[in-house]
Amino acid sequence: MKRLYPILIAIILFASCEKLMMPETPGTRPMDVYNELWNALDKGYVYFGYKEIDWDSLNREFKPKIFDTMTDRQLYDTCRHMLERMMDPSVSLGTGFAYYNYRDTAQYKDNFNLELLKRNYWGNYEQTGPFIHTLIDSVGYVYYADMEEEVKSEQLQIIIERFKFENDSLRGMIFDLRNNRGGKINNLLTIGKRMGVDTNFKITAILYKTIFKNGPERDDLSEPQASYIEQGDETKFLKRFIVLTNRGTKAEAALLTSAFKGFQNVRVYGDTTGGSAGKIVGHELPNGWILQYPASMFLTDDDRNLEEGVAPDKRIDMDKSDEDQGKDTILEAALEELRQI
Amino acid sequence: MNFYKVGRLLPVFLMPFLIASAQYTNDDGGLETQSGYLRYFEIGGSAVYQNLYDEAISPILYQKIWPGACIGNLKVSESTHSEVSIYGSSLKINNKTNELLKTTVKAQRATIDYRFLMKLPVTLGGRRNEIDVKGGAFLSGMFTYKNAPHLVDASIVYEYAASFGLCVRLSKEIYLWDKTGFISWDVSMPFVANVSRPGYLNIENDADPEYKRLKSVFDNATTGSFGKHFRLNSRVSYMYRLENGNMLRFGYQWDYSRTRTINNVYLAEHALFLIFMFQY
Repeated sequence: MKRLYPILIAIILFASCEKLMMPETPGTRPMDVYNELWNALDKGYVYFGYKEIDWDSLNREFKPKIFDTMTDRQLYDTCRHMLERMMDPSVSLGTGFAYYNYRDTAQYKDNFNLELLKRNYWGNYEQTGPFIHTLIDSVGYVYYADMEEEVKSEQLQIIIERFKFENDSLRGMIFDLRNNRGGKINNLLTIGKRMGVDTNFKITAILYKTIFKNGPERDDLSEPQASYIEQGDETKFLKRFIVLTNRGTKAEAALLTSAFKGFQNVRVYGDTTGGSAGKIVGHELPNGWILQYPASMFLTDDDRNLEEGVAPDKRIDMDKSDEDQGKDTILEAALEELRQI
Repeated sequence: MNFYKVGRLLPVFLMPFLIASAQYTNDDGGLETQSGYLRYFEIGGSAVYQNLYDEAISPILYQKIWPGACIGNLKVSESTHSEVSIYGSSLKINNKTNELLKTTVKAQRATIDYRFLMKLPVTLGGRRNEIDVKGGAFLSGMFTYKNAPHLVDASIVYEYAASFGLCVRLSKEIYLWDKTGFISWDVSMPFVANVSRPGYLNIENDADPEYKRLKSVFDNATTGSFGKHFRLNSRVSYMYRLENGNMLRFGYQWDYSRTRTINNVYLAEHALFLIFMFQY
């Protein structure tokens, strides 16, 4: 066995070298956590320039408030107050005992009443995947609540076939995206392929442009990169198409609205969409808290930042007196428009 | 890749080897080919302890013990040793920093290592305790796929490294438990590698219909030496010969790798393994 000793010693040596070869992890003192949070945003947050946030000045203001004997709750509160000054609903901080996320919808009108829709408009609706669809006065109506569930092309085919059956009397389509907070971006591409008109020509529509954070400096941003969708031979939604939006139409749903606007037979009614369309990056802090922030931004084809939301072609707000009479003002305006065709 | 489905198919795949190995041989060295080689198909399992530090995921060290699996082929003669081993592990790895907010990373790692060694004219240990020294080339492919859901749109983290280097093997015939066996120590180290890691902040442009993840993996690839990718694989094992010419190999492997890109990653893996070697 003595002959094996050199080998055993070598094993122990290699294993003990490991500590020297692995990097040192940051400490978990409040100042370490604060520094990691500030630096992560400093190197990754994409909107400093666009939102004119003076990040260094916030650091000068909040760093002196951090001390080593503060509790987790005190540290969280200090960090939260700093993040609140960014006024960005896409920035969040999760700690396990509390969750911070800036909410901006309070200052906007709801422009949406789900109960009213269910009661007075949806009637004998059908549901295919995430889509609720029905016919309202010879107008095809589809409500799309969120984009988390994967949309299959077959599901869209079922809906299109249903309305195709009514083709002679069908006046158009309404696609209701109100309060859709986004989800999977692939759904946007699946739905986009069903937009436009049936044609044998290959038509390409611009969806949006993307700008990425590509380095640690605040102005390290990529050139806007345009994304296009090429129309295939899939059957398209029929006739004229009106998309309904409100401030609750956010993230990928706002991108979907922007993509819809690229098609000539589409109009958008309602309120400007919410923003929060940038790709979100998570960052774990040394004490296990999770910071999330946007690290890319989107522009419309006319170079407007999607953080401002997508403006409707026709701005309409829900009217309280209409609501009291059981009417959805935005949906009624869209129906009225399509009835006139 | 669904490792569980692959796992279910494994017994079917192994059946010919199990049958083929059930042959008796008088020759203590086992069945030799006409050209004087001994060949073994290897399959085994291991207990893996992984230490992961990945800047694309977290500044915290992630650690976990989990089972791994390996298959391989070994071909040896008096003067040469060639070995292919494919090793895979699929684990949910986590840190214990915040009990209220536990984060988990699903990590799937596969390595394929090929070693070709030739006997070196070096004598160690004197005539009676001669240690066989072989040296040669080491070709390796490594791919790791990690999913960290708490990173939202940056949750998919990958790395691959295709590398070429040198390896050394010291082995000695020893008599243990009434059987002649071999104890060996292999050290392998690549010196040139082609590696790929996610870009800055690991933001994927999957909003673009033209985007292809696999293409982006190869677009991010760079080639370098120790400064780019450093790996040290050290393995000590004992091969124990069974009555029917097959062998059992058990041992310990320490596999350390460090890949430096815009997001550095460090991985240290300790594995205790047991491998069945079916002679064919």
